[in-house]
Formats: sequence, structure tokens, C-alpha cells
Amino acid sequence: MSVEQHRNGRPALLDVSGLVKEFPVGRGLFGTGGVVHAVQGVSFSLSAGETLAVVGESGCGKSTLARCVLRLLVPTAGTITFEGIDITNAPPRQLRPLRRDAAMVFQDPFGSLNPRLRVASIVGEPLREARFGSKKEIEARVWELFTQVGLNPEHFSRFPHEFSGGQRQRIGIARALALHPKLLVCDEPVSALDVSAQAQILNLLADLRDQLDLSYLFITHNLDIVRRFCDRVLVMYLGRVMEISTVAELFAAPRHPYTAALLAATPIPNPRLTRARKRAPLTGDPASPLSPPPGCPFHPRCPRAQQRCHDEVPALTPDDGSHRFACHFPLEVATA
Amino acid sequence: MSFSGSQTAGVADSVMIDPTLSVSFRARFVRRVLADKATIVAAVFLVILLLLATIGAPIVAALTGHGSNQQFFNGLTVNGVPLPPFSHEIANNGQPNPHGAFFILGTDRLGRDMLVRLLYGARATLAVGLGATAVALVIGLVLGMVAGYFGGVLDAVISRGIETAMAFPSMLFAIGLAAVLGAGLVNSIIVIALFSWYYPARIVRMAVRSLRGEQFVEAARSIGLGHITIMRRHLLPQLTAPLIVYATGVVALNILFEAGLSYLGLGVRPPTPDWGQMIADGVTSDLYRQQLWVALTPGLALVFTTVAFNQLGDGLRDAFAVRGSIR
Repeated sequence: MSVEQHRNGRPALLDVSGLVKEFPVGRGLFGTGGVVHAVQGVSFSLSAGETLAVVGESGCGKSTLARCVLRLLVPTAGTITFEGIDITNAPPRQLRPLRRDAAMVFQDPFGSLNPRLRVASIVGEPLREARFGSKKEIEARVWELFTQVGLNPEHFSRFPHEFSGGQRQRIGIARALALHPKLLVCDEPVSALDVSAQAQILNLLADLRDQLDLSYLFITHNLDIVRRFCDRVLVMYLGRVMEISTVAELFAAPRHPYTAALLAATPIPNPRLTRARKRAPLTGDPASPLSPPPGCPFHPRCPRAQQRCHDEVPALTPDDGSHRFACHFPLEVATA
Repeated sequence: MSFSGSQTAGVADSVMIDPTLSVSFRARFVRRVLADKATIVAAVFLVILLLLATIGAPIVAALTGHGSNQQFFNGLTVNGVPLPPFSHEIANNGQPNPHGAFFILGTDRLGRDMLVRLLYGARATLAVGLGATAVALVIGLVLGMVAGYFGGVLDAVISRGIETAMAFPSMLFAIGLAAVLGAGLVNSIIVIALFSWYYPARIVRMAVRSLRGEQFVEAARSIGLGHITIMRRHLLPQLTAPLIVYATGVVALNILFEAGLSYLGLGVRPPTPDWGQMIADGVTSDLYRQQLWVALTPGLALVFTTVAFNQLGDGLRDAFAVRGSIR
């Protein structure tokens, strides 16, 4: 599945342009505190049926980005267009199409389900809110959803604490699917699960994608999942896009030093290969988003950094349809 | 697309977790309460008290034929002193009249039947104690939820309001306010509620602040639920347990508060019987030196009621606890 096909064949479902989200912090009685620059000018678009991964270290703004897209947070600047409608500052009434056509799968299978509600009621909540139909119709739809995500519908009236982590994540997915959405925003949907449950949930998400023609905005820090599950990748660092590309191209030939470092940090399940591999691990931690460094946010840790990286924020290379990156001194493409 | 566990994909994980966890909240709650003898005793006592106050008082009044404010001319000794418990009214010769009225708990300073007054007094005491607590809870719940949920300026304003209210010396201020508003049942409720809403407000605010960050609240928002719906449907049910526990404890305090106001003559308007007033009657007239029962009987009733409410609150807190020993 190449991006070209998608882009040419199908319209953009989601278009994000110059998105900025800042959080004021520590604003006390006296004077103003700082500002957390969580997202600093992120642009991308997502076609129908496409899966875009957003990767990066903790605190790089991935989750903030996801929450802005679903308008759980109001962006500071930039525009978000969903199905051709500008939702950046839309009031709740005008968000109804978004609430129907986009849903979120959360990271924490324990915290994302209200412990006091029965699971049928949790899954049925979006249906009731959208006045989907009569009680009977809602119940039938919930039954259908349970089957669809591989849950036993006879467990209808149980409470969340009676399920395992993987089962709860299925409940969360069933809730997200309730209104036949087009876009699922998944915020690290498997990182809280054990490995076998991870595989099951990923398979479920893959099956659902094929059956229901879903698009995913898939937030993760697991590059293995990106390689196996996603069409395109967006690499973020300190709130900025470092590189955005198709999965195949990014893994074969990363152009940004940060992407290369991320790839080099992925464990290889083969000790011999691991030992043979040349690694230049990154030192230090990302700078605080309270006071991001000038110029390229990655330059203090970058092995290729020069004076220009300190002085000038590198712009994303022009959209050539597949591979864009923001670096003054990108890595060469290895000619094989 | 295939992963290592693909054979099992789509099939529900069949692992059931710890069976003790599958017991519903309600079942666990009931089991814990039943294991707690002191709480059961307290609850039974309070139920009986409530029954006595509501239907017991008129029944006893009818059976004895004594009204709550009825003064018995022969209900005092020839020296004008109240009669002790289990005594008949006095005949003209100064001796007990075996055919006259019988006072199980004796009579008070004005020759009124202590038993009937005690039972009717429970009405005022409980009505003010429960009523003021209910009003305080509603105010506290609304303000605490708004402050905890929306945060920001609203939270700052409400929190400062809470702190301001807490800074007032409550009894002193209540006395002043009661004096301005005048005595009476409704005024007592207003005054006491005004000085007990801020604790539930603080409890609710803190609880909502921590719940606010839970992912299920975010999930509800992503579905498109409004703030009011989220508060009602997702937050309120989680607040009932701490609020019930808190309320039972505060009823005891408010009953004492009411007794205090009545003791000072600022509670229920005389001659309507009320425990605080009855204690005051027995104490201020120096009767307690010889005629101990006049102050002691309502005093004991007050102590038992307060202790019972406190015990009930403790028991409920243990029973609602998520973890902790299962007794």
C-alpha cells in the first residue's frame, strides 16, 4: 500500500496544519510562570483507510497532538480539518460529526473504563449520547460490537474489574467503534499490555481496519509495531516533526539523525546481530519543553550538529509525496 | 498482517482474574457491615430512635394521656420540685396519689412529663441535625464539583470562599446569626448548614480533582458527553461512598450544634421540646444538684445518639473501603 495510491485515490480525512499547543504553567498570584511548548507547528494529513504512526520519546507531544485532533484540547494555533470541516475552534455543537466519525482508544485499560458502570453501559454510552435508537436497538448494537471485538456477549452485565487487561482493551475498542467511526486515534493502545495480549489487540485492530475501512492515528513508541502495522510514520521530537515518511522508506533509509538514533535503539531479537551492530547511543535527555533549545530542538544531542543547527530551525523539506524531514545536514541515502 | 499470537486473535481471552474480585461492590459492602457488631448496634439504635421520634412519640402521648407541653399541677412536689422517675403525681396531702398520673421518667421544672418531652424532643433534634446536614451536603456537593471539575478561576473563587467560611468561629457566629434570624426550626437548619457546608465542599473538590484526570472522563469527553452529564453519570456515583461516610459523622456534630444553640435559647422555640433546651432547663435552674434526671435523661439521649452516628460513620467507612482487612 503506497501512500501515493492513497493520496491520489482518496481524499484526506484529516488535515493538520501548523498546529501549536502551549500550556501555561505555574501562573501564580504574582507574575506569570512559563509556557510548556507541547506541540510546535505540526502539519500532516491522513487519508481515508491509512494508518499513520506518531513516534517519539515520552514528553515529545504525541499525546497532546492526539488530544488536539479530537478536540479534547483546544489548539493554541494552527488549523485542524476533519472531513473538510475546520474544527480548530468549533463550538461543541459543531463537533458532532467529529464525535461520531472519530473515536479514541486509550492507553490504560484500567483507567479508561468507569469502574462503577457495567460494560454494556460503557460500550452503549456513545450510542445513547448520539440517540442511536431505542433501548432494544442499542442493546443489539452493543451485542454486535462485543462479538466484533471478540468478547463474549454473555459478559454484558459485568463490571470492568471482572475482565483482564486485554479484554478491557477490547471493551475500549468496542466503545470506540460504536458509531461506525472513520478514524480511530489510538494513544499507545497496547503499551500497557503483556506481549501476548499486545499481539491479540494488534491483530484485532488490523482485522477491524480491513473490515471497516478505518484510518488510524497510531501513537506509539514501539518501532516494531510501526513496522508491522502502519503505512506512514511521523517522528516527533520536542513538539516538532523531525521526519515524516512511508514506513518502508523510513526504516530503509532514515534521513534525520534522530530517526536513525531511534532505529538504532530498537532491540534486535538476536544477540549475535546485536553485538555486531554499530551503535551510537544518544546521550542526555530531551530538553525541557518549558525552554526548548534555539534552532533545531535536537541539536544539543545530535552527533552531526553544527553552528547552523543552533541558529536556525530547519524547515521540513517540501512535500514530495512520500518522504519529508527537517534537518540541515541529513543522512545520505545509502546506494545499495 | 500477522503477529505471534495470531491463532488466538479474535477469541476472547478466557482468563478470569481473582474470583474474590468478582464479588460486586454491594455484596462486599453488605458482608462487611454484617460482620461489624458495633455498627449494627448503632444502626439498630438509630432506627429505633427514628421510629420513636416519628410514630413512638404520639403513641406514648396517647397511651399516657400526657401532652408534650401539658403542665401537671400535681406534677411537682409541694416544694415545687420535679418528681423523680417512676412516680405518681402528688395528692393534696403531699403524698403520691396511686390513682393519679404516672411519670416513667419523672417530670421537669414545670411539671411536664419527661418521657413525652424526650420523645418529642428527638423530633426537633433529628430534624435539625439531618436537615442541616442534607442542606450542607447539597451546597458542598455543587460547589465542590464545580470547583474540582472546572478548576481555574471558578476553583479559585470557591476555594477562597471555603477558606473564608472556615475562618469564622462557627459557634460564636452562629449565635449572632441565630439571634438576628430568630429562633425556630428552619432558622436553626439554615444557621447550622451555613457552618457545615465547607467540609463536604472540600472533600468533593479534592475527589473530583483526582477523578477529573482519569482516562474514563477523557473517554466520556471524546464521545461528546457534556460537562453536566459527565459530572452526573461518571463522577457523582464515585462520590456517594465518601459523602455518606462523611455525612453520618457530621450529623452527630450538627446534632450537638443544634443542642448547643437550643441550650442557649436560640434553637427551637419553647415550649416545643428539644434536648438541648431540656438540658439547659435541668442545669440552669440548679436542679441537677438534687433532681439529676431532669438534665441527665436528655443528656444521655444526646450522648447515645451522637455516639451511634459516629459509630455508624466509622463502620460505613470501613465497609466502603476498597482495600483493607475484611473483618
